Amino acid sequence: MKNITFINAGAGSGKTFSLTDKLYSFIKDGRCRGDQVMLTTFTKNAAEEIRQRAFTKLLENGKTEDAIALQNAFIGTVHSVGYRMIGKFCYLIGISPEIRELSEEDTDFYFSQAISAVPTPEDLNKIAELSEKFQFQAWDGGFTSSYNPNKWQDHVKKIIGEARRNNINDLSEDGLSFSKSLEFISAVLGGGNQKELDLKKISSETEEVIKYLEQLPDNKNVTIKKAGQELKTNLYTKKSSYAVFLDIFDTASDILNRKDSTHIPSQNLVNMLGSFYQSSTMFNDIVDYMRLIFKISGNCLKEFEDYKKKHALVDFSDMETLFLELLDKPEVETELKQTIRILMVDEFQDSNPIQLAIFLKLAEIVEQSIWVGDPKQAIYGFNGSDPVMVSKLLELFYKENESNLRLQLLKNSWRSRPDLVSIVNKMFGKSLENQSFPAIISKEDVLGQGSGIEQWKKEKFMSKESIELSPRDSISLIPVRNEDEEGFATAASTLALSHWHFINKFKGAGNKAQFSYYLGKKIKKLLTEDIKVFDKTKKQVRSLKPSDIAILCRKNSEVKAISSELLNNGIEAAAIVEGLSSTAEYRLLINILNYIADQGNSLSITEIMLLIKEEEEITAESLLENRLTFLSKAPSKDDADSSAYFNYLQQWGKEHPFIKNLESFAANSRHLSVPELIEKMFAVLELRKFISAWGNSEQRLANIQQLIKYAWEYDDYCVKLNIASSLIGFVVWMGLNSERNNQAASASENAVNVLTYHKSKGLEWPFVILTSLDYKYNKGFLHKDFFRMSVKMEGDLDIKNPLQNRYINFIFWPFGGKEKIMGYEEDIFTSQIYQEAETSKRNETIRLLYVGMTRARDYLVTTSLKEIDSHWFNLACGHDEAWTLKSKTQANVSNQITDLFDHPVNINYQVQADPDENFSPAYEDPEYKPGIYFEKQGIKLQDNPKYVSPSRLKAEKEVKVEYVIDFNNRIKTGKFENEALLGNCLHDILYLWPENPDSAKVEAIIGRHNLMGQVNVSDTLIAVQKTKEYILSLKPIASYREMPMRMSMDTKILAGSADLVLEFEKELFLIDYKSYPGSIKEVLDPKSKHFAGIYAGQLDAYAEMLEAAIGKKVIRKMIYFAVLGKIVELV
Amino acid sequence: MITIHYSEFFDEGVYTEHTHDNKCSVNTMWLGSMGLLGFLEREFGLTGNYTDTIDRTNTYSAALKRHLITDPDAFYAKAFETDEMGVTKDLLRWRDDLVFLGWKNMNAVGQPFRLRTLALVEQNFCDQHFHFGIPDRWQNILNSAGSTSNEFDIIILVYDNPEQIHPFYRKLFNCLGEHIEFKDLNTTISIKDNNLGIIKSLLLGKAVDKGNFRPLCEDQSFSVLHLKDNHVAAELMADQIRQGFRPVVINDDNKILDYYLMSNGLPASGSRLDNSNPLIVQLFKLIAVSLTGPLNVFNLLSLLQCPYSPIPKPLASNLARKLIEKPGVNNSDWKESINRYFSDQEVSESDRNRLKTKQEEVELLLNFNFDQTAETSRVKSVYAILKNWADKHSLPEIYKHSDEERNQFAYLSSLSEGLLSNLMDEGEAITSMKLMKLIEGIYQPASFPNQSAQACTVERVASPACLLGNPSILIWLDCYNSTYKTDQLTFLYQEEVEFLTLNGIEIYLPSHRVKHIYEKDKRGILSAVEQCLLVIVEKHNGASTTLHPLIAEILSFLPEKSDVQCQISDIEIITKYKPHYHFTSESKLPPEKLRWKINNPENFTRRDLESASSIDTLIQHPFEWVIRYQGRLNTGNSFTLPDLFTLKGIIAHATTASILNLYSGNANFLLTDSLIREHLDEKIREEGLVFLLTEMKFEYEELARKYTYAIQSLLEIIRENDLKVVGCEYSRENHIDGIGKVAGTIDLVLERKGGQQVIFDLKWTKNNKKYQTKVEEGKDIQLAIYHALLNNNPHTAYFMFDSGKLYTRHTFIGNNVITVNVTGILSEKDVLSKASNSFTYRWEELAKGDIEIGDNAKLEDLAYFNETDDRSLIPLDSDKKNKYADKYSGLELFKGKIY
Repeated sequence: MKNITFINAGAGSGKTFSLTDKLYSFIKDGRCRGDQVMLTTFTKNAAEEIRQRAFTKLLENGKTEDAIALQNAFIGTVHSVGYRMIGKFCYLIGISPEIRELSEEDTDFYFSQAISAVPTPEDLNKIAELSEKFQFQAWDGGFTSSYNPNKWQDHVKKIIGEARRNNINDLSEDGLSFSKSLEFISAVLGGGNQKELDLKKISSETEEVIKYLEQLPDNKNVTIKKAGQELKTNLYTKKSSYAVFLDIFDTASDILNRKDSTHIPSQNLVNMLGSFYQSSTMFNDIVDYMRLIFKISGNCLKEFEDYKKKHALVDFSDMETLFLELLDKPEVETELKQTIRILMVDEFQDSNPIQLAIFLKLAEIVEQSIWVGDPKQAIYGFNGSDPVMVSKLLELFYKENESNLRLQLLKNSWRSRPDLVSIVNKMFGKSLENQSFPAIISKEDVLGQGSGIEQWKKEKFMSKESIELSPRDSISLIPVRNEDEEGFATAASTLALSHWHFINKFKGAGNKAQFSYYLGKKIKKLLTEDIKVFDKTKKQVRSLKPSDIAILCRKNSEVKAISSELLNNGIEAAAIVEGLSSTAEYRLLINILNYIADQGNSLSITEIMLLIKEEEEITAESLLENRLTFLSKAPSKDDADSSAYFNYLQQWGKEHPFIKNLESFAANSRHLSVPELIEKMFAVLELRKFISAWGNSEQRLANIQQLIKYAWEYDDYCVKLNIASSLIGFVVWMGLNSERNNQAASASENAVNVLTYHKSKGLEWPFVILTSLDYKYNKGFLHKDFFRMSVKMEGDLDIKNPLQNRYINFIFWPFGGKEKIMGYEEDIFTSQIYQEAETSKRNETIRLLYVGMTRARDYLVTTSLKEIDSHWFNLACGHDEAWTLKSKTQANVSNQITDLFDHPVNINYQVQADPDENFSPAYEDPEYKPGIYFEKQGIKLQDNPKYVSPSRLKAEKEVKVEYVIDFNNRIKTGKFENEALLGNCLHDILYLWPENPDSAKVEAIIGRHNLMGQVNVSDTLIAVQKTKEYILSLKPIASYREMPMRMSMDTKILAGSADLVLEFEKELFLIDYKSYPGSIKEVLDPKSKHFAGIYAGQLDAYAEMLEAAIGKKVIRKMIYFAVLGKIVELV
Repeated sequence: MITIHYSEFFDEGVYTEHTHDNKCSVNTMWLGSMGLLGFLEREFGLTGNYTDTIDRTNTYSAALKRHLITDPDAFYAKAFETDEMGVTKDLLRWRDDLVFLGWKNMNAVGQPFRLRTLALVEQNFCDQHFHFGIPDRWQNILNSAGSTSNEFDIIILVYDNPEQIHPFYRKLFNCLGEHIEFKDLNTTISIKDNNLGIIKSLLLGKAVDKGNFRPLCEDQSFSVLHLKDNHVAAELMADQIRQGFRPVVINDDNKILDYYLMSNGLPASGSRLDNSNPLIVQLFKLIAVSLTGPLNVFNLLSLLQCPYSPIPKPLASNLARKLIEKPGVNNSDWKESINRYFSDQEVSESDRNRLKTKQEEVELLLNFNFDQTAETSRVKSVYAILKNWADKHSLPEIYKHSDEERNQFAYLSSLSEGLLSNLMDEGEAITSMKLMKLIEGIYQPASFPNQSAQACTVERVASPACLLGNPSILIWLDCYNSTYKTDQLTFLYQEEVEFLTLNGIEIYLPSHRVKHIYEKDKRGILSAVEQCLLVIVEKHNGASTTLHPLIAEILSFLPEKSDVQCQISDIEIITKYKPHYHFTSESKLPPEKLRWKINNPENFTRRDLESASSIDTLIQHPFEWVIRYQGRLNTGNSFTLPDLFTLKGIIAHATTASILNLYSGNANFLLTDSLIREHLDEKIREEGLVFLLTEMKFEYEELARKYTYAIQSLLEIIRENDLKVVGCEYSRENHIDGIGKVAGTIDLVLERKGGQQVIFDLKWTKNNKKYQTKVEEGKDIQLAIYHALLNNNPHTAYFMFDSGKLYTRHTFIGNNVITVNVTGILSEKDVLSKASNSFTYRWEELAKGDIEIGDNAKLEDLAYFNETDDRSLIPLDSDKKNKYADKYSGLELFKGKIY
């Protein structure tokens, strides 16, 4: 590794500023040009922000050239930089330059296409059999789950994804991944050391148990009999799944314990199933499944790679794997050495293994690397980054810190108020201590400003230039903000830290619903309290706005619940809320599309009539009444001519003004692409007006924008994947992904932000509310996290080859919807592998709260509900139960001082309760706020073009045509379809008359018009000569060929060019060329469609323009029929 | 003398102050690079009908291919193998860029290997008729430009900075010598003592005191307006224009502004559809649907719903409806529809041949090939039909299409022609993959005219570079989403750059290109005389926008508290025109109701014939029944094919009928897995095409696996119980007391040895328990009705395809038979009697205009529930507390579930 500086940048320490500043300095110092930088970020927005900031800074400092050059630098996410690299060097890896980027959802679709032929029918049968035994579950997004026979596809996809993300190529039985997975499952489940299960016996004994239970009297046996019934149904439908064995064991144990300890079938079952999870039957099933999945994955991996190559597709992982592959090519290395000098990496801690390998390789190529990151904010372990690997790499910087591996520390907090900085320092200084290392660092590498930092350096460094900092010292930041100067008052209400505790119950709601309900009410109240926040732009305090508030949640489902509750309280939410397809605006759009596709769709017409009411009194009921009346007047269907009946039906709704507009819109717009159609529809049909009338107009209009965006995405998707786009295609595509059923997140100032902790990374708000603090990281850990596929590394990290010895540990939960294994889980909990896995999750959980707490600029609120423990918060406090955040019953607001830390922190502690202990929530209807629209005047026919070509003008009066001259030279032409082409060709040749073109030149022109053999060259040459002779014979004082002219005529512009204008002392002649190859008779015959008089309008217009511009009268208007070799005059 | 005002950007239209001065000008032109090329070609006698891109690409592709014969390891060989057209387009772009630079040293010593390869390919390419591209044409001009004659009486005023233009133009302008005059538009800039003046000074790098910025209420000369989206921006602008505001508008993608101008009764200002994929042109891809397998049913439906297609519209609509009902193609309905359409046409004798030809064409287009390979001749025929059809539609004398549509038909024709020419060298057969690649290689989104500019419209240009004059009021309506990235010559390696430079070729540096555009953008703002308004929107085409780099620069000039960044509410201050705002009055969406009450129940009419399912619907979901059978509102969505479960049921039914037909006539019938597959596949083609999609492979396997198990299980039950198959899809009609005439098609009728009839109703459902409960609770109306239709007390049962189980209240033997809890069971007759009561009850409600919805309502809130016992009614489907809703009704809007 050479010349790498790692800048440790805690949350709010000015990372972006520092990166931009470094970038600027490099350019200013002449160490690189603006386009010689490669900078990777975690998000597109971050990349754009840095590019913009640096661009502006360079411009401000007069570095215009570099600022402009910077626009072409490699700045973006690793993927986008990879994409550009692949585009540039595609031939080196044999892929098409027209690479098309696959989104993740496209990847799923194409993956299933690509691998469709991989598993054999036998494989699929075996998989189906095993899947039923393991009863793989699909969660519905809430609390229920059901059997998912397609889970194996997820397993295969995940294995392939990890394999590619970690460059693991060997998925065979001899490979590290398979053997390590086997080792793992053996260690956890005892390696199948118990004998085989007698499935037949288990089945027959179970039937005995069921019979026994059926015979029990109903009285007092409700529960156990129900268990028996369930067993019966499950035995029939789920066959011999391992989850059912757990039920059988439980039921049999229950019988023995509570009904009849001598019941033989139950005894037999308990004996047989006592440790069935260690039986060779189950172990072999698991191994069979693993083997099959690895085999299929290996084959699919290859198949998918081939498929993508053939279709020139590049997916998300490819951007990285191919990028890495390219860096091994000498040509690439040479090119990059010459064109890139500096590599900058933002959010380094979130790098996945392959990205790490890329950065390490690039570090060898470029002159200087700057990696910026904060290990405390590594929160994407679940998504492919490897905090352990990153940490091992960074350890080298902390320990060695020499010129090649230099460590710098951003020590200031610019973001948060001092109290918030202080609490974060204290909490996480302790709880993250064991995740960091002592750091050797020099004084100059501690970066920051202000007296605080100078004092700190004095204390820590004393007289030394370099010291070893403890982890706590490198974690803590020194606040820069000064509340007094900013204008914060000192009253309790302005305390930086608050806690909201909600205590009431209400009927029939779960905890989440209660919490959301109270939170919604509390925020509504908060917004009336005139809280002051500091405006960074205006540098002064101002009142809190809804958009200043962010509510952070652990899960997306909580985001949705809280957002809905805010909406119920009449507060807009900037969050992802489901249900786009249930909105009236979506329904209207689909109905309009339906109508365009099928104008006989009576349901769509009726729904449109209901959504866009002709009169306010119209209701759904009245529409049905109208429909019934309408139908009652229909002609009989059974008449000989049933078409009268069907024609009558077609009249339904056709008098409705909107449907009338729609009909004409459809007739004029059906040729448009899907997004163009929708955009035009929105504008021309005045949908804003109708949609706004339903209330909540901002959200609805934002939803329309969302739909427009989807329509464009669909259009793009079709081009990318070579699919024909169509209305049906769009509607089907919309339904393919549930993500597209999300409503638009409001971007209004009136919207409170609701998002997950993960999504909050990199963002900040004046007022942050932390929820989900009761989250228990190890709840359900066994079946959700421990029995889950992961990527591990055998042995130590090899910096030269960081991807070496990585393997996939493939494991899955084989007990369906069950969460426990008859007490055996206790043994697993104490195993080392479990402990390691749990520690890793615990560490990441603490880091996630660090991210959440450091988002707040001015206020941070923690929350709790009833008696529920704040597990997460306590975990991050580093000492259990220190601050329980529960059991508070005060109904009034109090200002507490808590001594959780080594000095007291003021906290504004509030308990939220409703006077009624047990009530049902009721919401007021949000007040209707009228939407705004622009009054329109209605569509105007667009039949008055601005630009008019003289050739389109008709003569105002009749003209005569007279012969002028016959050159006696008909140009011989063949028969061809394109007369206009002949015209162009002859015009271009006749244009050259002054220079007397030779036959080679004329031949070349004819040839370039693809008319060789169809237009006789020598005839054409003669025509040019005759033309010249004739013109010269007229003795003009000047001649103008293809004379451009242009004139404003009232509101229009007349523009064209006259073929030939001859100027005389006092007058002008006008000659126009025509290529009509027919007979002169037609030209002279006023009844013929080739009559020369039809050009009078055109020539009159030229004449008018010429007279206006030159001031001489056009006295002759002639037409030269070049093919016929004759000139006629319009009189 | 002709005066040409030139900038390479003027092809997109120019703004000059003189456009409307009512003067006539002659011998003056405003030309962009393409315009100048055409002009000079005519001057030098170099005009021609230059080949279109598709032909040229085909020619270059052939040259690349030829080169590979002698150099199989050429640098592009591998990529070419996977994507011929993609590689061709890319390398042709390289080649053109190089030729434009003046590269022609095919045999230069030491040429880097990629350039050397391209030089060798060039030898193959240049000898072809179609090789001439724009760079070649420019080079031809350059060769002729040195020898201008006396007749060349022209002056070209160039408004581009000579240091920033492409080196080719510099060379050309040098050659044209005295005919060229460079003009610096910035010399015409006026700087006033206002905010706009300060911005202009800062943009020009002059030192100005930013403290002199005045608030917007005092100085409206410069403002940055932040709006929600491009629709709001266009709507606002149209409103202001309507009131008399007359700015010059910069707006590239102008169609939205045009739409709002038009809906304001104003003349459109001219717009294009850029990078567009219009529906007519999609036929190029859609028409291939029948050529090879797997048949994509969605594409087929799209083809049939396409606004225009070579398949006659009434026939296409009819087939689309059929496809939605029964998503298959080889079924009898389908074929009959096509035949009937043509036989029903009444045509004169003279048109008979034309009709016959049309029928042959349609039959060719709709003759489906399920294999992965197609006969090339058929592909050619299909595309020839498409081309001819598109050609006809592009001619105004034949069809009255708008200009916009005609352009699209012409493009469709050229695409088809491109494909046909590509197919010329193909063998007898072509694979699906190859055909797809060809289509993909040829297809390109294109630009089409959208709306022509109208008289009296507002002045609009596409970009700041099109401003030749200095507008008094300037609005830049799409001042966002620009970057200064360029791919100008970025394909070159450094060593190639060095080689070319050493060989006297001047490279056009990306930074020069970017600077050129940046200066033009700047010029836009500098040109404004009195007022400049920059519009930034949060969303364009629904997606968040990014800041224009130039705006970022300008924003950095502004003092912190400056209010020139403003909102829509400030528009009146800026333009002096009050927006025509209107406020919507509330229009309520239908509320959620337990039941409806209507006033004209007399219009409800008894149906001549009911079915088991309609009776069940009336009892359980009267609202759905009313809408469907009384309101006759077709609840089907024009886009939606049946869901997978329904389809599985349809296919399983049809397959079972076909297998049992074989079985019933053959005592030694052996049902093998392959026989099952054979029948299943046939039915899938006829009724369930979705399962043929490649991405549905695993669903198909799952269907086949489950169905195989189920049909074997069914046969086993039939055999073990010694049943004789009487008939499948057995249609019967009967009068049922209290209901009237009822018809039904019974899935399977069997007979026990003693003659006792047996009815099996076949179901594909995830929820076996649902049917178990129906029997248990006496709600199996369907079985009861079927029971009555046969009229001889048959035994009934539900057979489940998903699990292969038989649920029955009667006695059958077999492992897969589940006898439903016999205690307290109701017989079919009892159920029928209840059904009849319920039917009467619902009609009594309807007669009063009462229609129950009751989705998820508490049971005790429903009158029907409260009277169930007293009047001996069929119990409602519920979870014992709340009534179940009909999940598939699609009537959410009426039911108040849409918000």
